[in-house]
Amino acid sequence: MSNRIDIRNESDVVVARQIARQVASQMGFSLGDQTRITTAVSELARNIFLYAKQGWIEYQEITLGVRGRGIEFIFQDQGPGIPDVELALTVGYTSGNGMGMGLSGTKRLMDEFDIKSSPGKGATIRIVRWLNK
Amino acid sequence: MNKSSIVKIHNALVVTLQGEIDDRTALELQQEILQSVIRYQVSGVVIEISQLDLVDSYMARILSETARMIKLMGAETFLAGLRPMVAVTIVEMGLNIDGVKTALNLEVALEVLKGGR
Amino acid sequence: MILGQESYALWLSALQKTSWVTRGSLNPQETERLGKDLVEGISSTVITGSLSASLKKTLEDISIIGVRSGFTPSETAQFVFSMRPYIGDILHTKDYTHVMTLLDEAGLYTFETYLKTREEIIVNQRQDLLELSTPVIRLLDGILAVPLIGTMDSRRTQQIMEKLLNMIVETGAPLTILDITGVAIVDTLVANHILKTAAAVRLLGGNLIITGLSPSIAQTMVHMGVDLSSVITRAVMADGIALALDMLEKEIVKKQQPGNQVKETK
Repeated sequence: MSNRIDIRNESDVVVARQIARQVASQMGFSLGDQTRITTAVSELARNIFLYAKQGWIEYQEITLGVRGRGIEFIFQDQGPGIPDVELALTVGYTSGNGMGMGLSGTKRLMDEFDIKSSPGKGATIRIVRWLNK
Repeated sequence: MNKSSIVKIHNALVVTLQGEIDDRTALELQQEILQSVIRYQVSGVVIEISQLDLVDSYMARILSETARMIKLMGAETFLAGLRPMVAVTIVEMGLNIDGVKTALNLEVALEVLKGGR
Repeated sequence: MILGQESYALWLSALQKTSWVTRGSLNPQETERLGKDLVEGISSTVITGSLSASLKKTLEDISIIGVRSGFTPSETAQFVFSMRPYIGDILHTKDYTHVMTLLDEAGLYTFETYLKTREEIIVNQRQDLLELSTPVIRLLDGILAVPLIGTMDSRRTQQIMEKLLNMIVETGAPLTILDITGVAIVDTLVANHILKTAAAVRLLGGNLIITGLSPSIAQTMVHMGVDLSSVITRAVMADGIALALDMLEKEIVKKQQPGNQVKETK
């Protein structure tokens, strides 16, 4: 069963972070992983607010055979979308705000990271971190 | 939510970042720190962040920019008390916090600013 | 419960001659107990049609003993399959196919649990090894030392980094000497791991001195174009310690002995 967090304003980004930390801690992630997950959620939640004004996050615990348990977050918006996903993932790429490490940095914190986006149709970003590696 | 504070100790400004800081609050804090540097005529600023449980790319940029602004005003900035796991995440993401000196804790930073070493 | 006493005895005595007993993994009494549990489990399974919880427990026990004894998965499953020629008579059953299917199922279950058990053991051992091979030592007041030995992959680097950073915060030590004399291969990947560790240590307000850069490592680094200029490096650990003491404005002096005629001139 997935849960949902709506992102409509800046304080929702903080709410998303708090929920991410709480869920990660409850699932038994190490302190390091809790920090990675919370940081990734903070980055992607902010992106929704910055580029699409509003959107939502769905999250749930997942299991996959021998991979065991993991946590999945899906970030969705109906904003302008990411014109060039490849470019957006390049180190140092920035569309103005942040350090240009947002997406590429987030990708490095996670075990799985997929973007689906087409211009004008918004973006869907899915991230996963597994409990045991 | 944001429980940060700015106090003057000797010739330094001690900024304790605490609680949940959203992007707007971070910008407001930057403004407040810069104003305080002028008001209290300090030669150094210590940003104590042992209570922060995450530093993402935005926060890293704000910290780095604030340090560079303070430098332009003729003072030094120390980042003190960064949590180990936050440091690991910053490094893994490839974030840079330029222009900031670091110290293990507030005492060490104040000591260095006092000209102890 | 057990009807075919004679067949049952035959199976048990056959079992007593297998490597399970001859190699000393089980003593004859234990073999008998496991054998009895197994037959009872299979017999109740014939009625219900699926492996019962207690039968599964018995099969898991067999697998664990198999793994610990260093048996192969087939040798382990053999404990169950050795029953094949006898089970029909033991249970006095006419539905031979049904019993064989269940026996196969039970045998396969030991395969599964065998693999699971071995996986668990490997994971634990790997964890133990990682812990063992990455000590963070309090060398002197204000100086930590990390002697790296073996191979450095991302997982290990991460573990070492986390352990070191926690120790730095805990002890307040401003300097850490990371000695790479014992690292098998120092390539660009390892160099990057070292640079990452140095960056994290600096973020905390500490400093890293890398020692053990032998001539061959120095050559490799330069040839591969790895820039280590952002970290302090030394060829041998002793030099690193001397440098660390110097940076802390400390020195090691000879102890003053009251009764000693030889006076230090300094």
